[in-house]
Amino acid sequence: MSRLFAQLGAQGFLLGVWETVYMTLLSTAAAYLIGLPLGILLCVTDKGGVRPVIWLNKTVGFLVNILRSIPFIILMVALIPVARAVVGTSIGNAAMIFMLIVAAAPYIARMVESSVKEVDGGVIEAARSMGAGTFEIVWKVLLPEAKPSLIVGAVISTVTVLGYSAMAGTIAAGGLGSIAVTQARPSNAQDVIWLCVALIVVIVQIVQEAGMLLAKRTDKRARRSGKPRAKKVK
Amino acid sequence: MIELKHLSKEYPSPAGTVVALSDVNLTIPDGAIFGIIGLSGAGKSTLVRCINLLERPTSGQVLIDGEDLTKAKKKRLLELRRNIGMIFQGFNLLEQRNVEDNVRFPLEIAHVGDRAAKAERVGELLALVGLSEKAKAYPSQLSGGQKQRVAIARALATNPKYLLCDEATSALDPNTTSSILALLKEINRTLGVTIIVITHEMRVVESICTDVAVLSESRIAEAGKVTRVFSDPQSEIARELIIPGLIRSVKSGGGNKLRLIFDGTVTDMPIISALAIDVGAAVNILYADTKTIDGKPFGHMVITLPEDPAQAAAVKEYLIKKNVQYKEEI
Repeated sequence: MSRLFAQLGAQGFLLGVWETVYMTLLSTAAAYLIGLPLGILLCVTDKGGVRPVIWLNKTVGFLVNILRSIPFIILMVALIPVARAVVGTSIGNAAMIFMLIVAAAPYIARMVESSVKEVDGGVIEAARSMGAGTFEIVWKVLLPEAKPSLIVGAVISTVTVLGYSAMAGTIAAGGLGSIAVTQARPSNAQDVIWLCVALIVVIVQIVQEAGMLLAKRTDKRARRSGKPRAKKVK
Repeated sequence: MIELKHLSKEYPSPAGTVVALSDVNLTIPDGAIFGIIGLSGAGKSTLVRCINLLERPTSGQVLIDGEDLTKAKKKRLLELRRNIGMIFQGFNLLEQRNVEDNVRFPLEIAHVGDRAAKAERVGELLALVGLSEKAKAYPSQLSGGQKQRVAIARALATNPKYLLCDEATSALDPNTTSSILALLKEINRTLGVTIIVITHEMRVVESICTDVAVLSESRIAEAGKVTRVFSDPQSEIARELIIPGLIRSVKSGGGNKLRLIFDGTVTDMPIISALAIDVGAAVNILYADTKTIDGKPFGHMVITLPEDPAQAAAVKEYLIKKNVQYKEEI
């Protein structure tokens, strides 16, 4: 056992787990507050959408693409002055959460857009034929019908954010990634690195399994016997 | 009453403008079951979507009880749509809502009544379509026919005066089709809902429609009472659709031919045997098809006239005497 391992102890690792979990969940949740409306907007305003507004769609799509194309580690560096202005500090957990939100929101927007686009156009047409307006179609048709897919998207997004959070050490924030990169690596404490890896794997597995179970439970398209959904008649 | 006036619909496409509808004029009287029949690509689906403005026509008017939908403000248009129910080939139920919540959906949109009133209305509608015991089932647990019944209940939730059916039975097997058609007919009869039926199936028109319009190549080729159009189709396309074998039989073989028309006025008389016995003329039957519409026999029979002119004249005279309509086909 390395000296660092003993030094950290159960408490040190638990703190790492806690910091990773709360940074991930908090920033994913906050990123959804931005990404979900953006994703819906991208879907609704698209050509052939419920309410096409091409210029708006193109503008938002362009901004989302730009943010999505910057590698996270570079985005972090670029955001240092912005974080200082917004959160008041450019280092530590609060700054890290801010950066994660900026990186995850456009990613989530695309996830939401693709989920919502899966909703059958015929169902939307039926709602329109009943006199539903754009807001009602979004609220009562698109979101509820896309719910299982949105949950799956949320699981994928959460795991992605968890991956990003491992870079927290770069700006002196905490979590398992920080322990592995900034503490264990320099002192060559392999056992600490491997335990961090194992703990992250466990967290990802829990998020994944719980999320998929929830998605399956929510989806009313599956028959009770567990058979795959009935073939669509067309 | 629904009136379509000079309705046209064009789509831009990379290959140039596609004309889906061209100067369509149609009047759909209240209480009718109005069939719109045509081959695929004739523009039927576009036409029905122009009635509730799911598709905005390029030009022309859509008058619903005198009010022009194409000029209605957005909010008014949404209101007007609640007076026009619609059902689809693919049913288009909300898959994540159970049967009763699907039927409740239009009531939520229209903000009609409180919780209890909505529940009561949903109960009535499910009883109407015979699915009360499936209230808690999800669409994926229903058969095609049951799904269409739910869709019908949903379309009728806001008490619409009109019901549009876009190929509503095309995805169903023959038995289920019959039961759905019977349900539509009953809705028309008991609730007085005017029904517009889009279909490519002749049997749908035969079994429930009172009026029919034949759509061909973006235009109305022919329209009128089913009894009239079926007994005496004027346009080539109507003849093709209604009496597919007729054109072939008329074109084949030599000799003078007569098309006997049974338009429901002549009772079941064995006319050919009668001809043989009473006139002594042996005629050749080239084509015969009869259908029962509204409980009366309708149909056509193509016969070749005897070559002897005197006997041919006698045949015609006999038919006139027996009140059998005929047309000479050359």
